[in-house]
Amino acid sequence: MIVRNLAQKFFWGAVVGVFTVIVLSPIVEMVFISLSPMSSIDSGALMPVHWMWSNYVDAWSTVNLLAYLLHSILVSVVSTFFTVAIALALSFVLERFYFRFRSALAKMILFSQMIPGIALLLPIYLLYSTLQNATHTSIIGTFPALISVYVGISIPLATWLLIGALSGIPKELDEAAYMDGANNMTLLVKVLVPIALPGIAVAAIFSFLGSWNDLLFSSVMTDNATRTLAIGLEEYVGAGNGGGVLLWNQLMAGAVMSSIPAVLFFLAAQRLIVQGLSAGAVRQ
Amino acid sequence: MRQSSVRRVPWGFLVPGVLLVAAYALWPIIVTIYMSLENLNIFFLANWLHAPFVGVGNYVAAFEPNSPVGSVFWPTLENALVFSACAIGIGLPMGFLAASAMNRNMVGRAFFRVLFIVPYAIPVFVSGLAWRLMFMQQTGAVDRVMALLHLGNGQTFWLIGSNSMVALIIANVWSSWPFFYLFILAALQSVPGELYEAGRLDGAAAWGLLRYITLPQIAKPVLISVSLSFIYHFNNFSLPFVMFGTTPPNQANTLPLNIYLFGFSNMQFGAGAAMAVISMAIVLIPMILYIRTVRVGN
Repeated sequence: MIVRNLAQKFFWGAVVGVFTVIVLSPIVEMVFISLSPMSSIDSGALMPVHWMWSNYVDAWSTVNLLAYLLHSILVSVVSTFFTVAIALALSFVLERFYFRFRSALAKMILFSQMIPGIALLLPIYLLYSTLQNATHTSIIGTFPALISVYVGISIPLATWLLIGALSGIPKELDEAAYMDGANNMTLLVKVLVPIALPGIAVAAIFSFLGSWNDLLFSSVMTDNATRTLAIGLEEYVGAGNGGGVLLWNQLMAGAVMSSIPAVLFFLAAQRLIVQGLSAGAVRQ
Repeated sequence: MRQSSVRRVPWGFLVPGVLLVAAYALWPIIVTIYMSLENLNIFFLANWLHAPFVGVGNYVAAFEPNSPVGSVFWPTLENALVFSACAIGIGLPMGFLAASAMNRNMVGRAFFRVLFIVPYAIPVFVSGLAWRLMFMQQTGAVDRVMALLHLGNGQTFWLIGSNSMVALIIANVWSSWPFFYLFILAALQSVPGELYEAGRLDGAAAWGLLRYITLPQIAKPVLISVSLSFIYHFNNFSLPFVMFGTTPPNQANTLPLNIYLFGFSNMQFGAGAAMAVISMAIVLIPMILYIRTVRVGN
């Protein structure tokens, strides 16, 4: 029995050890590169020849990181705000009221959250360019255009998560609030929102990450003045491959810094994340 | 009966959301289908409503293996299927093993539990770039480590030619396996402990407990995670785009990237739209499986 326990302990300890190596080695390599001089990258040294902390400072100007970061924050925060506000109202009606086609509407929303992003990008791009030509104003490449796309495509998942959150709140609370003279707005904002906060947090995190990590829409619908981090870093690599100098060390320093908000968000809310994943957070 | 059923529906709360979903999901789908029936190329983009109507011509071209569209459609469809199958076939066992380890009492469990999520939390636009650099021929970390271990000559071209799909799969499995880990860990933790006690009293060995208690109990979340993972990976545009840019090697060009390039590099929106509709039809299968498993609307 003791031998068997020891063997089991050893086995599972080895499993954890192997997974730790798998998880950590690319991350360590990423950090090493971000701290290396270009000479040690070009020569293929496994460790930095000397530690070059200045990469973390220089990346801000070389990769234009500050502008990209500000754009990403603006786009992600604004689109998350609108997504959650609109989805909250929609899920409130879908969860708390009966009307014809209610279930059909709910199913349609679930379906629309799984439409491949590429099947949306082609027509949205075309519709925006048509609108652009018709009104003689620039639309593609502006923040409102990008943000409205993110809001539109994030609402279905957020609605779905919020329906789940609201359904856990007893209907008696609604009745009590109505008795006290509350209207729907007060009921939703003053009574339901405070209780549904964990669910709202999940919806907000997934909306935020969706915009922050998006490459598909940002690659077509941003220009130099609106480029976000995800596409900005990719653009830098493309420019380097096109003949410019590609400073991988500073790029990696920028990449490490730009993943910090997403990683922190994710880890802080890791217990809530599974809810979002099982509700079908699959869009690219 | 719910009292709220007699209350007036506040349509004002419903309208903005429904309008946006209609504008950014349903209407685009109708337009995609319409585009797919047209010979929509660069000459007609400005006037896309009146491009030459070709009916199912784009679909016929996509399915015809020797046509310019079909000769790209079939290989990229196959690549997307291989990519998705490997993500599930390798990621699911990894997630199960790691989740089983984390479901036991051990020193430092809280730390490892979080550590294992990190690859999934790192944005793909970051990890994809890192893998691109690590797979560089000779100077990249992969070739260097392989040379140290005397595996191969340390001169492998990973990002072009037939190895590029291997590189893509490795990068993808690294960043996506924690998806299964998260699902299965949550499922394992919700299996009632009494079941295992009862099993042990009945004399079941570890294998029996796994076969007759653990697996049936986590079957549903596993099914959900597999169908969601397929949808996600089959539609995955970001990782191939980050690793190979707009000129991917044929072996690593997956369907979503191919559709994107057909549209925005070749300006053949009609053919691109037809392939997008086909990929939507393929994704419908796991989508229905998912919706049935979670029993939506009840």
